[in-house]
Amino acid sequence: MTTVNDLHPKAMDLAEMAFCHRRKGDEEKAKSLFTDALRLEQQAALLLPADRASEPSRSILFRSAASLAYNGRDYEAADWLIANGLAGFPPPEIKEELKNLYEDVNFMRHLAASGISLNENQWLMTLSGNATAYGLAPVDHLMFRVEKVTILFYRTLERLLGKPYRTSRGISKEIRDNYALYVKAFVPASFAVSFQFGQPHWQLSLLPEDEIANIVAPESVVDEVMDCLQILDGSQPENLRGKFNDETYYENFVGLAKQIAPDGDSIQLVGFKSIRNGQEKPVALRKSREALREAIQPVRANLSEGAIWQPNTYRGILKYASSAGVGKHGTVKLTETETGVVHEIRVPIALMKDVVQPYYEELVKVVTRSEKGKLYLEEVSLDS
Amino acid sequence: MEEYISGSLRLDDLQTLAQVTEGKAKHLREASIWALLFCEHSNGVKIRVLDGGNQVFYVMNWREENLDLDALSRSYNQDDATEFGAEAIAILLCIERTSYDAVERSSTTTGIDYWLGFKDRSPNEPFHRAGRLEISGIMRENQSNKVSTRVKEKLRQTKPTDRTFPVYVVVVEFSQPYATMVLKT
Repeated sequence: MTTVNDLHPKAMDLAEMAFCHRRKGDEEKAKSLFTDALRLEQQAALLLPADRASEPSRSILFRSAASLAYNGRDYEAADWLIANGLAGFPPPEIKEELKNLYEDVNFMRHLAASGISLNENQWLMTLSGNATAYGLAPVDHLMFRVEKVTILFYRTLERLLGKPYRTSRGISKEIRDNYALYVKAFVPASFAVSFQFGQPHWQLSLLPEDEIANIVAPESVVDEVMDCLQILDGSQPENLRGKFNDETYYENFVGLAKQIAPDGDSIQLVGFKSIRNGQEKPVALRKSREALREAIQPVRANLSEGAIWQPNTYRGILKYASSAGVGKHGTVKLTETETGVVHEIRVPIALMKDVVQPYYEELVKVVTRSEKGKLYLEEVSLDS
Repeated sequence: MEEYISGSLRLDDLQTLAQVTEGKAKHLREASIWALLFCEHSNGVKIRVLDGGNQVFYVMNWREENLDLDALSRSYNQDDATEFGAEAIAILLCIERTSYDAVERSSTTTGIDYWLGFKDRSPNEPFHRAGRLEISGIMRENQSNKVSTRVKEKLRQTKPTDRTFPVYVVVVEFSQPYATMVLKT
């Protein structure tokens, strides 16, 4: 008689191979292996009756099978497997993982059905959440993220070009000319927007200091942004740090990603999709700003050893902002709405220009940490 | 202080101990060797292990016959070697230092999860009495990328309400080299 142990290890061997092919970019082979692995893992899961004695093996196997279906883009099968897993007696953490997977599957199904046909030089962002429940997204949710994604694209490009982190001035003309990024289409009655990037047309610069030393394909900039977002949303966000040689670029990326991330109920998922070698490459950012703060904060370099992470939240008007002179921080002043108390808050230089300055004179919510009697900014958002 | 050697971690034993395919065991073994050689260690290097309040040492070794160093150096990069090399060492350490004697796997949306289990479990209950294994790797520790913060980070990712499974967190650093093991019950 066939047992779980006859099927499950074979399914995992195939899954290992599938992930390996995906890493190498052989998406077609990966998908085929995920489908083979799914067939075995599903059989293994179905061997166990839906009773308490089968746990936790039963729900872990269903979660594993549903993940294989998700990776093989078989969203109908993934739905069915998640429902089966939840129909038993899953332990709380496996139950939560099954529910999270259900959200991911739903989102991917939405991406697939968004009706947009992408090509290799396009990039799609989609929002999902209660604010989009009727097929319409409030414009501020969408436009705000369009702006931040654009900044993220150019910051990543500058990093890949080996440029030092830019603390002042805008993007250089040469970069803008060679790497134009356009908003191509807002999808009617939807909550998706596609970006299109032009291919660089290289000409010798009259200003040698502006000349771009290395050529970076715009597709690889998008791939880099997508890879970094995927790591940030994954189970090992701490690995993101290893992709950055420059701490300022790292902090800037995390700061912008937090701005783009879901904010809770209104927006629960922010998804991206690109096409490479004819295959769709989706990334879902499901962690909320708070979850990202929790996940990434301890590996931040500016949290000194032994410092205690105690977030404080203040609400008020951002009255004043100054860039850093020579140090690693600028300062902002926040006047609390209710009490009129003014707080001076230090801001990492990586967050000053792209994250904090746009909120000048706005009613904001600021999350800080306290260190040696000084307040350091962790996060800022509009206080709605 | 005298460095008492508790035993050996043999990368060639991975397939038997972790019950993975020959290909996967080879991949983990090679990634680990790549990372250790990249940090200028040689076969037989001592790895310091911090387990709870204890500090112990193991000798890392591997068979060198049929090891094509040129091919090996071309096959991995720092990211791959850190990730998979850490998995190899963490698995060997857990089998060596805990009562678990088997490794189980499950699939997630982003890769393969490792679990610690027992060889004598029922053939239909691979995850009976299992514990989760959370692994992280660092090639070269520095001020902004420390093993201690990785451990805290991993412990925080496992929520306080997660009471069903014990969770082992293992963070491996290759340049010194050392590993920290923490059990969260």
